Amino acid sequence: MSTTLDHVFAAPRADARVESRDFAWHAYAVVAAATMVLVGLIWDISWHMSIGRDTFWTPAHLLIQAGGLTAGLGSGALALFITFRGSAAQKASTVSFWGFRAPFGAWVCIWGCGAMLTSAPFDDWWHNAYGLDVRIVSPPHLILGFGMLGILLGALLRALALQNAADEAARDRAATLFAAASGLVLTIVAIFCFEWSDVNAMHWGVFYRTLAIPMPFLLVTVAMAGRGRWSATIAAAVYMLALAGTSWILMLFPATPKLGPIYQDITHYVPLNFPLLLAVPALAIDVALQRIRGWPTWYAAPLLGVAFVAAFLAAQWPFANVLMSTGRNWFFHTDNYVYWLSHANEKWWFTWRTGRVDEPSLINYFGQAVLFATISSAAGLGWGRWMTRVRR
Amino acid sequence: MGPLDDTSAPVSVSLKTMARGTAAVSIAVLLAGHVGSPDVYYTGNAGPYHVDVAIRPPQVVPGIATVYVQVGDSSASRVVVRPVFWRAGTKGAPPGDDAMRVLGTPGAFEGQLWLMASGAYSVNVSVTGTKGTGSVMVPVASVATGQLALSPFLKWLLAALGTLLVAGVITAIHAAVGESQVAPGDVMPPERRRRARIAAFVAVPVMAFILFGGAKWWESEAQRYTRTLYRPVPTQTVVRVDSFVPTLTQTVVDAGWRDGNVTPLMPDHGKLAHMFIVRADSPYVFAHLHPAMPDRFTFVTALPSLPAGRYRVFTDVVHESGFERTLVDSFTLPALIGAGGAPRLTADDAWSSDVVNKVGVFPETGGHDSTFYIRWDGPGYVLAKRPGVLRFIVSDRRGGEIAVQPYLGMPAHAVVERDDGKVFMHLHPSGTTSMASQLAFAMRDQGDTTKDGRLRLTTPPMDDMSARPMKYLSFPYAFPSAGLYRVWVQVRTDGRIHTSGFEVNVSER
Repeated sequence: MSTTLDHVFAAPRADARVESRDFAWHAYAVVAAATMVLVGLIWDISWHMSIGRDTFWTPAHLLIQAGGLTAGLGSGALALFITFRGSAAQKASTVSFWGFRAPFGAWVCIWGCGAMLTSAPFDDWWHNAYGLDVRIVSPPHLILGFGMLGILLGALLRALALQNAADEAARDRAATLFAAASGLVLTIVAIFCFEWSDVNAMHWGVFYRTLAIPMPFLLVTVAMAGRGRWSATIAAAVYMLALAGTSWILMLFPATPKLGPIYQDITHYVPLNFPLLLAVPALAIDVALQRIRGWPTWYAAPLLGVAFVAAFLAAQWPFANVLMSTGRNWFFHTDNYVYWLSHANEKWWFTWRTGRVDEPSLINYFGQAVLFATISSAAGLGWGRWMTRVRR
Repeated sequence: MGPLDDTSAPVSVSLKTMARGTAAVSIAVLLAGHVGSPDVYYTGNAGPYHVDVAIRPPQVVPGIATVYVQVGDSSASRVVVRPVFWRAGTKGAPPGDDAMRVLGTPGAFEGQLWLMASGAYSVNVSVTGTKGTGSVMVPVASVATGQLALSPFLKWLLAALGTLLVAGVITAIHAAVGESQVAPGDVMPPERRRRARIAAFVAVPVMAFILFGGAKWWESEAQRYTRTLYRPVPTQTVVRVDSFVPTLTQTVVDAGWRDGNVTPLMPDHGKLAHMFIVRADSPYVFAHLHPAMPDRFTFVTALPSLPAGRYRVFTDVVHESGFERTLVDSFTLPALIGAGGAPRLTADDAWSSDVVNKVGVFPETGGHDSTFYIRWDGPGYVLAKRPGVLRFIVSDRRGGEIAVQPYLGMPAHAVVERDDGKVFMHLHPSGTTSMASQLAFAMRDQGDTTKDGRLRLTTPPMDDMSARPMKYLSFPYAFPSAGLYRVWVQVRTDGRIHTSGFEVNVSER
């Protein structure tokens, strides 16, 4: 009798688990597509730093669009397949969206692709109406940014659902995929923070306070939701490798400025800044969460906040000295001057930035950083718990 | 506001496709840098090659200009175009781009230029062929002149896509809180279904708020852009009568100019300003005068004896940045009995109130006085945006060649004005560009500047006044739009300046 009841309650789940593995390929495919989007974005920024001339058809744009289309069309095809040809168990392991069925992450990818496609005619008109990229942050660019974020989040959610539904044998691989996909999201957020993360700002309180807002949230979320022991560390390592690796490769290829005025003699792609040492605070968060996972948020969040700020400060502050003093080489490439940097301003590149005269003290800023990191960690704990429940 | 040289006539613009096959481009702009006629035309030599260059500036900045080069020599194999911003100079200019051959038109090349800043640019056109390489510099004003409207198609497309995206977000939030949290194979419990609905319900006003914020942002960006549009510098023009001599004073009232946000003016053909006075209605009257400048923002000139009426004044100036500008204003001249300012005017000032020749009505009409004859040689039916139409035949009494002396350094001057005053252009047989602007770019390139960036201007050598025989006279130009135009042509022979007027009815098609 009990066997029968077990069959009634457990069997569909076991089936669904098998079925979700059926389209595990899709999770890998969208993570690969998200990687294309991200590498394309890094390439595009480097293109703007070294060549400057921006058209719809630059190779970097094409890579971003190819990534977006791969994720969007792949997910669309999966949705059509499951809706019209999928087994009952496959349908029961997916989410309904306007009458169609697909994994939740696939829908987010389709949305991201739709947003990217929408931004294209809008951005083209915007350029013709108001000038070519007078400002980087414009409504069409924001829609494009949301679209790219959608692709990355969709990939993350697909990896997450795969991990959460995976059986013992497949879980490690799925957990690694999730941590890697998280690393991509971490990278795009770090790119959004570029304006505040110049090397010469790394001894300025604002830098630490600013990064204490998004980073603990992301790292804690990954550490909470990842089934691996070192999910946050892997994610941070993926971020560092994606950014540094793409830069190292780009630097090998010739590029010359195509817009004036030109003040730097540029022959090859200019790399982006060397990545932040986020692996260190990520490790601290992984270690901490291995011990305090069950703690209530009110106790865990301040501890994680302090752990993030302390570990990040301990790593990045001295590392900034290294970058500023001996970083003028291909590895750290601190002297990554953009083509429009006048020779007079080169000095600025290597001068520690400080704030106004009435600037709060460093200690004050670190205090603010701990406060923000605590709030951010609390949000990360909550979001991470939601993520552990994502099953489809 | 930055220096006015680096900024700049709001307009509704319709960019049409380039007219190929002839040596120029076409455009339709109602009001802009060159007063409704922003396209730049140049005819001259690039080293050993004769070139006709036409540049269609973008209506927005930064934007892409189209350059059309017709090389008169089939030996040219390559044409490179390169934009040089006045402040950065050739050193800071990007490498040139190859202009592409225009299929079906030998010697024609078309290229694109990225104009990234507002202000004076010069376009370096470099031609390479069997005779070697030669280049020429063509100044162009880079100013935002128009705002592109959202086409109905694009409006509906964006609205539809936007609606889909917003609905997608709300559905995704519903799924995130609801079904995505349910284990595969399980049925969604009612409690979760309820929470998903609440989340979606909350998401609606949140999305509405975000869209409202986005719309406000767009509005503010559009307003910010409107402020960057080129506007004619405001002036005040008054006419006073002193001892029977009427004196016109045009004063710049623009705060930016008065505060020194513009580079100083430089002489063009030895004159700091060329003032063109045109009577707004029939009978037409035209004067080309050269006002004195008692200070940086005042232009003063005596007026010749002109009939009473409403007049428009167009004052052409060139800044040391190489930026060409036309100061536009109007005034009413009362009937002045016994007035006449002729004694105070210079030998280079000229005016005419003669009857103008109506082109197309009596094609053979021409003539000016007993020693000099001029006849319209362009088509009898003139189309807008069609280059190569401004042609004349000049002759002596017997119809032979006539000896023409340079007038202000040029073999001839032409002034084009549409009857509503919305289009105005002063040009020469070499084109619409000013020589002063070319000089400014050449000097900056050679480093002939002071520490604070001023040009080291010296008194130019006296013009060679020797006469050259001429019969055919043409000005590289295309009328920018349909309408009734007046064209005045000025030529000097035997020390006398002949001013001849033509009325041209320009049709759209």
